[in-house]
Amino acid sequence: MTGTDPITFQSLIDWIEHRLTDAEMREVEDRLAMLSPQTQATMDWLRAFSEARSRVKIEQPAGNLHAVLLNQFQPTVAQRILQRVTALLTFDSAQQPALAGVRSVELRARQIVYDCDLIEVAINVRPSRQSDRLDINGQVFPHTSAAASDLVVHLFRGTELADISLTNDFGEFSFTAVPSGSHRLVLIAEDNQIELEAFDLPLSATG
Amino acid sequence: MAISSSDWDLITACRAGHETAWEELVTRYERLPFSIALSYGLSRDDAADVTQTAFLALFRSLTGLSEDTRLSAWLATVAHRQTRRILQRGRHEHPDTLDLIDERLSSIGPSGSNPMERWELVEWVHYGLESLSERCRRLLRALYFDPSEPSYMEVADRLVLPVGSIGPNRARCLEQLRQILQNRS
Repeated sequence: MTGTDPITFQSLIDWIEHRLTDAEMREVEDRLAMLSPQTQATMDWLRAFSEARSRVKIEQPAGNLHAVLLNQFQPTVAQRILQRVTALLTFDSAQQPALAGVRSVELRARQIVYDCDLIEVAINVRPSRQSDRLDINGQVFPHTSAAASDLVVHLFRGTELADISLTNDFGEFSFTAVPSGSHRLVLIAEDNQIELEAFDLPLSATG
Repeated sequence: MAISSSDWDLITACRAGHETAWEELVTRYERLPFSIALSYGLSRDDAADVTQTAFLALFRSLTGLSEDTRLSAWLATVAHRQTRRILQRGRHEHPDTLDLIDERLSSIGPSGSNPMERWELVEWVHYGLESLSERCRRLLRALYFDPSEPSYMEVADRLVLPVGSIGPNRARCLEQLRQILQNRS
């Protein structure tokens, strides 16, 4: 707020929150046109905050949940050193020759498969229905008796962490509306950090 | 761990097996996944499940996180995905409530399709509140995020403040919040 502004910060808040009398509301509205650009920006922020708080809840969970969360910590497990494993590309449909007579429109999905001693990961890439981006659906198949569920799957775009997913009971995970670029998946599974070789996603999922 | 420990300090301490660091992370962030789930209309029980899953994923990923990981955004992303999964499961299990679930699913949207999805708003507000002084945090939570919508009188009573100071304190705390969030962006 500047010293020349005709409305105090507090009055602006009260106005936005409808805490003023009708006469006070009109008084503020009459002076809105005289606001400095700085105060105008402040008012825009207050409105954005007011809109945000009407759309979201910020609440404290029950105390018993707090105790459950604390119990998730196991010091010996936290100190473990993850073994890094690289899963290699074993199949990419984009690198296969097109079948004679098959129209390209039918090849919109791209399949990619990675493999290592611990797991096989099958990935399908399709154009996203809701945007010009791509949807990635994957499934983890353990080679051992280890569970496929609740693995943490990190999607990196270049070196930046772009998204995170968790595998469901069937080992499935997904990412939606992924932009084109070079991507890499990293899975955290028990004592292992499994890194898949990077793959490029052009705008067309067919490669 | 000191109250002012950074997220990275806490993650590093957790990796060394310090339970107090984990406790601080939980205290700092337990509202975030819980609130994201609630903001999409999940029950408190389902929101608790989302929160448990988010922290379990965090625990499992501790070793894999890097110093530039924004923990707040990391947890929010996991919570958002878990919320979506529960909503999709509800679509199969409760077809009689399809309209309501579809409305919630459409509001969750694909990540990145909208400049500020609801889960991102929760993360934005949560970050701002957590960055405030304890006094301001308690006041703004009571004024704007308490589901019982207490009056100024009730807030003053709860926080042991003169009722006449609530308005000016609210203005000062909102100004702090504005500066924190604008500096972040």
